[in-house]
Amino acid sequence: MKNFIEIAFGSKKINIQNICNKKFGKQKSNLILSKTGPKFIKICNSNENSLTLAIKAFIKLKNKNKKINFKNLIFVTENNIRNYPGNSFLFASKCNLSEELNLFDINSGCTGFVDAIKLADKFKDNTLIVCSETYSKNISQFQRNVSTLFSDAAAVFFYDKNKFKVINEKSGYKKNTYDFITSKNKNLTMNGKKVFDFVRTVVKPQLSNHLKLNKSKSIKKIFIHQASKVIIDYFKILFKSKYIIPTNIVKRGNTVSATIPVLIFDNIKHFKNEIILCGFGVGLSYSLITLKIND
Amino acid sequence: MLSKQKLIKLISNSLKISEDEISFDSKINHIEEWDSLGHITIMFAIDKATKGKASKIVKLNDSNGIEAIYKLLKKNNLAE
Repeated sequence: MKNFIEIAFGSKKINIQNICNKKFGKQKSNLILSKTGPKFIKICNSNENSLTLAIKAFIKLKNKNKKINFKNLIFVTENNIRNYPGNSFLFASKCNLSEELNLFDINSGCTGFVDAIKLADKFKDNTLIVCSETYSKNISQFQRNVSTLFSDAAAVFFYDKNKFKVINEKSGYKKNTYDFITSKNKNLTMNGKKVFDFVRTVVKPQLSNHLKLNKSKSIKKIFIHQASKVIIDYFKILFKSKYIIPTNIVKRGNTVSATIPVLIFDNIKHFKNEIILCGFGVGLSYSLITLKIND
Repeated sequence: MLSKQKLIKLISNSLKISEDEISFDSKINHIEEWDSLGHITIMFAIDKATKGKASKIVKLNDSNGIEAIYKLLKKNNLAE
């Protein structure tokens, strides 16, 4: 069943709990981790980057499914290794892919995977979606709200037109919120309070509307971007009575555009029939789809 | 409906401090535990207590203290 998806993480394991215990004491550290989620994160070592992680994931996918055949490649990342060309061109060359491929690069954060699915659905042929993020390279020194949260990871997802179909979609952004998660001069900053407010006042109502408009007995699962434990807990409290909301934030950390495919990889048993995918974050923006999966 | 006392209890629980350490006049900068994580926890608890209705109050997140939160909740018929 997992023959359409693969993942790869940075090889350096960081013990967040130990760092927080030393910096803030055990009590405060436990409080922080109860909101952020991961006790460990995995980040790139000096030889790894968004391209090497993506290639690693792709090799794993090719090894288990030699039949994948696609004419489009969408590479989603906020961590292109060059200013230009985008990672898609480097990836295609390094993986020795066909020169007839249509290559696309999306500079998008936590909505990136959902945005790519929307695009892939509109193409005539199959698409390989690659999401690869290395936020650790934009964090020069420990910051409580970002260093405790983000792992580096890549996911490759083979969008087979015979298997997947987007039923409907909704997306948007909020004006003048671009400063709330941003990176200038390779320095990542995030205003967690403002991001949470965006989730409460924009994402949650949009998701509620989307669910109302898509009342189908077969929709039981919502795959939500794994922003932080407090945000996943928030959605669980609001929607758990009617929907299954898979989570892996504690185990994996927030991997930006790769979080939803990593979540799918970890919860493949729930990835069937009709599901909702909900990405939100940098922009600040959100992207929602109902996806039909044919077995 | 949240009363003043219930709101103070909810906030003290969210910040993991004793009710004696805060009052109706308490503001964000008076309480060490009321940092950004603390604020998120408070908003979370208020949304939960109001079954999501408080999430429609756009200015709630910008409130700088208990009284300001209470006034906004009351204006929106979520506090008594």
